[in-house]
Amino acid sequence: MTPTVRHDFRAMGTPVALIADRRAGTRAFARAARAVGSVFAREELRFSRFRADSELSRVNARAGRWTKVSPSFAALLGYSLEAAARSAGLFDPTVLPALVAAGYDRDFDELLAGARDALHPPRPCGRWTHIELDGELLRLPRDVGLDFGGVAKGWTVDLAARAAVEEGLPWAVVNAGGDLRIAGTPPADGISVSVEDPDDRSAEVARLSLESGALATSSVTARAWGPGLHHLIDPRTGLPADTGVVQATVWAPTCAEAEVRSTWALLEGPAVLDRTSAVLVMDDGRVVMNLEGRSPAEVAS
Amino acid sequence: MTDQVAKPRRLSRRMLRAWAWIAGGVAFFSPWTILGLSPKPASGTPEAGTGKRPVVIIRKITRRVIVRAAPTSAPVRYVYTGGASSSGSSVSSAPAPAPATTTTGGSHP
Repeated sequence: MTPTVRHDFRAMGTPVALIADRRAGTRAFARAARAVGSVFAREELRFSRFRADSELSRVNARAGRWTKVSPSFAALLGYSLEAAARSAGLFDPTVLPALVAAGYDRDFDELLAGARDALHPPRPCGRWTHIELDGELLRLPRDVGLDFGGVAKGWTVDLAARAAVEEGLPWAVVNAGGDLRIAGTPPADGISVSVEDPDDRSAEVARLSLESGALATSSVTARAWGPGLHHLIDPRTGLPADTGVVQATVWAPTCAEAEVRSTWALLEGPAVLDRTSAVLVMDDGRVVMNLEGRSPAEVAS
Repeated sequence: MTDQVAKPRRLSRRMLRAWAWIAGGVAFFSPWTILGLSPKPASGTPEAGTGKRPVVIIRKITRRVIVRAAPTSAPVRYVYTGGASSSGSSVSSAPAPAPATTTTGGSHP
C-alpha cells in the first residue's frame, strides 16, 4: 500500500481532505495544500447560498432582472442546465424554493443546532427551462432561486485536484465530504475508497479501487434533519426524495458529473445502472452495483 | 290499651363518629381499589406494566449484494464487500483488508 500524507480543513460546510503520496516531499505537499485551500475559498465565495456576499446570493436577489455573472458562474450554470436537460429534469438547479420549504433554509451546522419550527407546503421545481443565459448575462424568473448544491462542490473538487497536481504532486486526491477526485498518475493498484454503510458510518458496504476520475455519493441519511427530511429534493414532487434508494455512489470522469449522476441515480433507482457505474444501497438492505470485481485472493495480496 | 311504639335507638355520638371515619376511608380508597381490581390490558412485552421502559430491538440489516453487468468498463472496481452476506451473481465476502485511503458516503456536514 502506498504511504500517503493528508491535509484536512473545512470549507463549504463540509470536511475537505487533500491526500497525496508521502514520497512527493513536504514542500510540494505544503504548496498543494495552500492551492487547494485557496480554490475552495474562492469558489465558496462564488457559489455559497449561505453567504450574503456570494455571487450566487447576489444573482438570486436580482431574480427577474438581467445580471452580469463571472465566466466561472456562467460555465457552471451552463453545465447545470445541460445536466438538467440530459436527466429530464431529475437534476434541477432550481430546487432552492422546495429545499427551503422542506426546512433547509440555513447553513447545515445551524440547521442541526436549532430545531426547525414548522415546515411549509412543497414548492414546485422544474423552472430551469425558464432561465435565460446569454454568455455572461443571466436572468432568472422572478420567483426562482438557484442552488447548485453538490455540483458546485464537485466542480470545486475538480479544480482543487488539478491545482494540487500542478504544484508538483505526482497524484492527489481531493475529498470534500465524500465527493472525491483523483488527479495525476495514481499508484498501479489505484486508490482504495471505502463506501460507507448509510446505517452505520463506521462500517462499509463496499471497497473500491479508483484509478482515475471521480466518485460522488448522494444519501438520504446525510444532511437529514428529521424523519423523511433531507437535502435531496425530488423535482417531480417538490419534496425530499423517497425512491427506495438510500445511497448512491457513482463513478464519472469528473466530480461535477459524478455529483449530477449520483443525484440522478438516487432519484431514478437501479435502472440507472444500465448507463452509469454505481453502487446503490436500497432501503430493503440490498446493495446493487455494476462494477467489475477483483477476486478475494487479489484483495489479500 | 295501646301498643307502645318502640322508639328507634339513636346512635351514640361515638358510634356516629366511627361510622363517619369508615365511610370517609372507603370513599378515599375506592378509586385505587377499582383500579387494582380492573383487568389489565394484554401486552406483548413482558416488561410492560412493571415500570421498566419497553425494549426496542433494532434489526441489523444484512446486506445482500447483487452485481449487474457494467455498461462500460470504468476505471473503478470493487475490491471488497464489507460485512455483507452475498448472493446473486458472483460477489463473495473477502477478508477485511487494510484501512481504505479515504471514504465516500454522502455529504458529510
